[in-house]
Amino acid sequence: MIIQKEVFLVFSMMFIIIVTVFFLVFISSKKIGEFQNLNRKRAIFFFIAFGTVLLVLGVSLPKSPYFLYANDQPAQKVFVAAKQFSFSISKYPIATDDDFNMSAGAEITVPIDEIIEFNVSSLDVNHGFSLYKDGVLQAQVQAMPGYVNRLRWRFSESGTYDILCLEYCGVAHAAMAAKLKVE
Amino acid sequence: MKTFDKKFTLLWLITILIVFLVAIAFGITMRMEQAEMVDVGPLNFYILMTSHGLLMAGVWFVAGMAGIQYILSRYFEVPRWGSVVAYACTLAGVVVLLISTFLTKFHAGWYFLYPLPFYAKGADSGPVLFLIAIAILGAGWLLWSLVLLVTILRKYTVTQALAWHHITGRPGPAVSPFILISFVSLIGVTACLLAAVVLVILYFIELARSGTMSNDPLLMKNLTFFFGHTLVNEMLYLGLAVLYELFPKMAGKPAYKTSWYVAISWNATLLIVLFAYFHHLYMDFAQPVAFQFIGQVMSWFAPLPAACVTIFSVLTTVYRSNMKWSLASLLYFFGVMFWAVGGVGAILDAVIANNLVLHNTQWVPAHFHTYNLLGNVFFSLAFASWFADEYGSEKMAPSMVKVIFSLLVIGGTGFVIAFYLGGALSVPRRVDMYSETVDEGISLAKMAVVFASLYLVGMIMYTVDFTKRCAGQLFS
Repeated sequence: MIIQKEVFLVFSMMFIIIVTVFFLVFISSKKIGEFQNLNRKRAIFFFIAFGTVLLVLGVSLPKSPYFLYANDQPAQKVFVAAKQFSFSISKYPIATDDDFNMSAGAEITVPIDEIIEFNVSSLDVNHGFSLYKDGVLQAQVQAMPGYVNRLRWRFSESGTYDILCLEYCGVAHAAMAAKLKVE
Repeated sequence: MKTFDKKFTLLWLITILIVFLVAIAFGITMRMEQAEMVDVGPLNFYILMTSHGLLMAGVWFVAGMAGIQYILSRYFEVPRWGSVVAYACTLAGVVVLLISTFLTKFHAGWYFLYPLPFYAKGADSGPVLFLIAIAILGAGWLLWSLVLLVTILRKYTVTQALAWHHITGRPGPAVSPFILISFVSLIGVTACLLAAVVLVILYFIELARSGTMSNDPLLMKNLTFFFGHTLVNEMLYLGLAVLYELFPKMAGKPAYKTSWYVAISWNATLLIVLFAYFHHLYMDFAQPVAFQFIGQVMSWFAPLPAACVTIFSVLTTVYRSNMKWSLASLLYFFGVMFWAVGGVGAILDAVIANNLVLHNTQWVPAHFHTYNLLGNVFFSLAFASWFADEYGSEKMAPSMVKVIFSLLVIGGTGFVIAFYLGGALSVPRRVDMYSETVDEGISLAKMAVVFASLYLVGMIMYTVDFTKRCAGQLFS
């Protein structure tokens, strides 16, 4: 299952639990009585929540994308520069407007099942570099002026990927897109 | 003094409600543009987006502050001028903001991520006017929070206001949770407004040097989110401080007391909230990994003290309380519920591995609209309802309570569900139109328009009823 669906499922379950608890307590407010063993139940509630937090942190932090294929050698480096309102993608570094114009609009193909290192930057404002396959967001990284963000990624599916800008960058932000071929 | 406090609080509340209605109308127009129901064009869409974001963040921040100011005035003599200056600055700031967006076409978004203000500026005067608006708002609010902090410190020492003696068991004056939470939140507010001051100064230096120097984008991004994230969090806590004061009485229970765990919780919150903002920069891989980890750890620990203590307290207060529900108590109780729901959405997004596919999708407005529109706004509306019940000409009619509450809950819930679905379907946020890749966004925007309109109708009814019951007090 893709991450977005997993997250939505967990969220939906928690939504139902929270709403159910609040409605049960709301309905109980028509009666008179006392909440028994308040301190003990509060302590149990807190320690369950504390344990859950520790568990989630322990499991999820090592899966952070900064460590993806960190010890491997990338098969290919791809340089991405963003500039209002287009991307330029090249096998060579893009540092200037001339570099940008030279590779603007060029179609890049990267190999399937190999580690690709995207070196992403911007020549003007903050942009977002995101990879979509069939409308599903696979990964992203910010394109920030003055900095290079490195994202290592292995494509397990061939085909054409849509690249969308995901950081609001100005009036034509919604139209800022490009394509990437994986074969 | 007391009459002034009542009248000025009333003035704040009426102003807030009117600005809120305008900001909702901006938001609905944006969703209608995304739904292809109107054609305002991209520039106007982003002008609306910039205005909507800043008005919403500002209006609910001042709502929290007005609530704190009023309840504090029941404890101490609170200087009037802090609130008066803040009111004048808020009005002036909003006017300059709207001039910068609608007249000079500035459209860089409410958190104006550097260096976008120099590119999405409209006329050359756009960024200058916008930064002046931010400076006016920031100065007025900073002054107001300092006045309130000093007011508390006239009666308590810093350690007493932080309720440390409730943790150590040493003798000292009883500090109510309201004072503790207000003090903690005002420190946070002061810190983030200082960051805004630094941010604006750096912008002005760059403007003054006209192209001969530039700021560091990563530093500016950190400052921006330290300011924006912390402000939005603290304004929620301001609303909670008032809840701690008013809610137990609504349920016919004794006032909440500051126990050792309440004191520890809010002291921990003070620190945790200041470091959680790093989660906004997860996708900036150039940021040191240690900061990213601090962001996730703090984001996950943030709900533990404040939310667990508050949620548990509210649930046990209501449990078999035989309480008579009013609009105020309903809004407080279900506001806490939606705050918890929005919190779950937020911490799921705060897992770095999840953020890789949720960042800047509609999952983000989904969770922040849940705990703002249905949480924080409910807290302030609850305060306003309580205020109207106390001082208005009459109580709200029970049928009106049912209609308004249903419209707000059904409208608000449907509206945020459209965003959650959008996040799950990878639909981007902050776009005026959806490309073929993410065209599910169009039907979700239509759904959002319908539900947001219900919410708007509920708010119009609320505002009319509130004004009818209370406006007479303003001129009495």
